[in-house]
Amino acid sequence: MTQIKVNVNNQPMDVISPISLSELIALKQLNDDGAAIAKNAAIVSKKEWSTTYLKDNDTVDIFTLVAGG
Amino acid sequence: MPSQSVHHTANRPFNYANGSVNTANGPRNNASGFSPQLSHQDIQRYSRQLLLDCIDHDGQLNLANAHAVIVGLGGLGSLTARYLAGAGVGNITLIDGDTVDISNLQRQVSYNEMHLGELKAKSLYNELRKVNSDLNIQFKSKFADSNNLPTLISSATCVLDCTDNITVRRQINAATYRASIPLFIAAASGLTWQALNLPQNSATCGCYECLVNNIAVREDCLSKGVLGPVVGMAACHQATQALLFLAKGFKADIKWGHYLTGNAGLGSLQSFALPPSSTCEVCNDTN
Repeated sequence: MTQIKVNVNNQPMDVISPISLSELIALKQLNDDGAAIAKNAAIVSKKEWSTTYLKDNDTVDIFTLVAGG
Repeated sequence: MPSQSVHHTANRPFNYANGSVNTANGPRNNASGFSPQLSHQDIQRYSRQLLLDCIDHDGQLNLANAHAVIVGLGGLGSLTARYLAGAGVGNITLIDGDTVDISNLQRQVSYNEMHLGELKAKSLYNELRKVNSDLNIQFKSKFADSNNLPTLISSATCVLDCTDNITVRRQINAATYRASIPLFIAAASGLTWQALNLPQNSATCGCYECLVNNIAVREDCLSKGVLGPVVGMAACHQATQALLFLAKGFKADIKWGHYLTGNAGLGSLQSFALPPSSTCEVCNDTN
């Protein structure tokens, strides 16, 4: 197990590797209601959150999808 | 400009892959007696955009030959349709089964109190005819769904998703993907506006289903509210992207397969790549 630094919505965060996107959401109790996640500026499909692992210095953006018009 | 190959040329008077005008197939729009040259009146009408390299003379001819299908005529669609008509998109199909309600007037700028209770598609058709009587505008006062979409979009150069619910958005994505018709998506809620351009035949770009699958997307403006100009920001972006594509095809300097999300309060804008998902049921459906 290694401690790595990641950046989540422009906030630096220390986490223990290995850690997936799903685990990051659960660990930090982040609200994923209607949320999409981009890792290093590329969107990760929700089905792949649990198998997508973070590396040191990765950037994670969590944002809410909207569909109104 | 995508790096992937594109195949959007069949039965279309403009070759959207290489950006050239193909007059051999003849024009779609005969209402103004289209010819390969712009009329003096056209030059006057479109003079401000003809000065732009991203439109110019050939681009204006391409706009006249293009067919834009606009699904949803609320805050997004009523404004994008106005801009496309003003810019001279020769063939426009308006689709919505809804009627004009007084709560719409806060943000749906093409309607006014005289339209209350009327079908949006017909009201907007009448308004756009006043803007540009040269155009071939069709309206369908019905809600789009997976059954009627293949027919409604079959002759489209591009489709604009201006709807307000996730179910229809997914159906539009699937229909345009199966028909390889470029799709321009916009959405808004609260102070957030979002947009996405999809070529719908690319090995390197995902589709809308790749984005939203398994996600409970915030659906409408009814529960969360929305500020009128925020919808307008999304619509203006969407109309701009569609016009640039319709004028220059895949040579247009626009970004495909990137999801934009903007906060109108903070004035911030982020862009994220949308790669294809290996588990997407639309992208991976070879039937």
